[in-house]
Amino acid sequence: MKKKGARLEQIEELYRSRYQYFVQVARAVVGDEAAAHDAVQDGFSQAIRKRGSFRGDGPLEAWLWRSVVNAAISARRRKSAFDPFEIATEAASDDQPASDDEIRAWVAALPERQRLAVFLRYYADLDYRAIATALGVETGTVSATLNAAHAALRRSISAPKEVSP
Amino acid sequence: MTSYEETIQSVLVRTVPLPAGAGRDWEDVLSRSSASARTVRTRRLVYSVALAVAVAIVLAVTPLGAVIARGFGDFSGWLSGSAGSPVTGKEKSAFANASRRSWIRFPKTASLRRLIVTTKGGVRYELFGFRTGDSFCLQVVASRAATARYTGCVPQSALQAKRAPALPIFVDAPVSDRETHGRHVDFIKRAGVTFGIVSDGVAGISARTQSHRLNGIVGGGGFLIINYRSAAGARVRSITASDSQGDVTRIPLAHLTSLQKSLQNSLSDMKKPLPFGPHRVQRIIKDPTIGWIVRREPRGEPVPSGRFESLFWPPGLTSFERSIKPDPKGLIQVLVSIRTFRHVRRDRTELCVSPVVGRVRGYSCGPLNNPFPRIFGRRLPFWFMSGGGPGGDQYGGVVGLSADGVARMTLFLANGERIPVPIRDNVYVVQFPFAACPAVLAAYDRKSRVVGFQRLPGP
Repeated sequence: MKKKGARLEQIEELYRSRYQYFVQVARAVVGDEAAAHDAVQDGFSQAIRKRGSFRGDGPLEAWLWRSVVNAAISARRRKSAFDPFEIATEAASDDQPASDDEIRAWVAALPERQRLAVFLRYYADLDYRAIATALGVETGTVSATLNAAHAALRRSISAPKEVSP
Repeated sequence: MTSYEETIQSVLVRTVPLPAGAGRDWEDVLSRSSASARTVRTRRLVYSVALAVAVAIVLAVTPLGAVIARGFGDFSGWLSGSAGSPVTGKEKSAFANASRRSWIRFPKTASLRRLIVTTKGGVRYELFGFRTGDSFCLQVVASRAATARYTGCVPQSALQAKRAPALPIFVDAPVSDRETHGRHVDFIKRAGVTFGIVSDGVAGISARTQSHRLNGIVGGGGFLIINYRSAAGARVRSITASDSQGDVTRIPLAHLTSLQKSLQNSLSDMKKPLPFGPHRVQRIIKDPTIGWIVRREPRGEPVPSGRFESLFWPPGLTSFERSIKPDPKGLIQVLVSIRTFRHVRRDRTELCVSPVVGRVRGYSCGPLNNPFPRIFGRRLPFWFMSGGGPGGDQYGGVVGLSADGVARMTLFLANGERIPVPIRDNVYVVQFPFAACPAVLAAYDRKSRVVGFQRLPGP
């Protein structure tokens, strides 16, 4: 029988080694780095409180991702109560090719779950099963979500460019 | 992975840099985990405590003007431009070059002053000061064994208000050592720096963590406290300043626990009235709007095409864009634009505001035909967006739009201060110290009747 619960040292180790990835994915949800850091801190603090409920039937990292993603979504909801539509931004670096900027902007414009799935897959390098745990969905749903994201990105890439007047 | 997927992955890895790992703070996670367990049962109690703290701030901070007048002097060194010592021309151009990619560019015509230089633990720390417009800026540069560069500015009004003999700008900002592990780069926090401006009569400054006292350095109108224990989670919790007679004053500091932070940010708390600022709307502005934007009048300044484009703007069409600077001598510029977004709000035309301090610092959009939000059932005649301020982690900035019919606005702080809010062409911007929060933003018509007020979210 698998031992139930996660050890504090295991959580700390993942926090220390993957902190930056957690912040970056949380940022894809909440918009700015400070709020993302806050969401990661809250996500981990929730995970510590509930570590006894970790059943060990999947990777601990995926379980932690779920806690962080939930904290980020809650933070985003609190934030959007005041700001109808607000995202903190970084200025474009002068030497980046336009196509990269566009792809990044299109990823940023995906619906929340698709955006999260893309970041978890291609940025945090999680497999479908871990993404499913992180998002609280079935593995098949991850596949469908990523397919939808790919279709939207392909449409954007093939669409004619708009030019500001 | 297909080549298409590889493209997406490569773009994300290449163009979304990992944030500095310096914000990592396991001690904070542990303290939040024990605090959050208590949140529910202590929420009401804490609100009472928060109110008591707000009242205490009012009581403790209000008499500081008198304290400054008595023993600490004022900020005349800064206001007259004689703080610190001038640097050489060569040093100035090296500083300007290093600041080129910073969010606030060092103005060519400004005088750069060196305030403090010290070396500790193999790290060299230099504190510089300069003035740009009506803002006083400090930059700390850490080099050698660990590195960091932080810049923060406070408005002249903060010095004139004489809130306290010291104005902290950053508290425990991380100084990190870079470690490379294969393709990953880790930033290990080696120390924390706390720095700010001091009035002329301050002779000493010190900070306390949970278990230690840290003596800071005062020089050239600035102060610098280096916290080597911060890597172990011992954060600066309080700062005191002393004058040559040994009189000691506690400096207001924004250092909220996560519990207070969540309390201040919660919707229900934003609903609760505060013991300062207006409590009743005296006139309602029906169907609030901004005529010149709807008519697309060319007010303010034009925005060069692509000048402030941001990676995070969703794809869409910009049909109108102007730049407004409500405070001509301030650092914050505001872009007002009309955009039609293609994906996020399909083909809906939105009115957007973006604060700019060197670069776009965020944006907030609402429907063009009905831009003013309804909060708690009331339609406000103004719209606010927090963040984007240039004042380090101790000063906040709020920018927004006010409806036609709003003649003036005032920010009420918990320390009893009232800050007049500069407005130009319906765009406003205001900076304030987080330590004096909570705050209420109020709008008035030409006859000084209250047309709207709202408690702002906490820091």
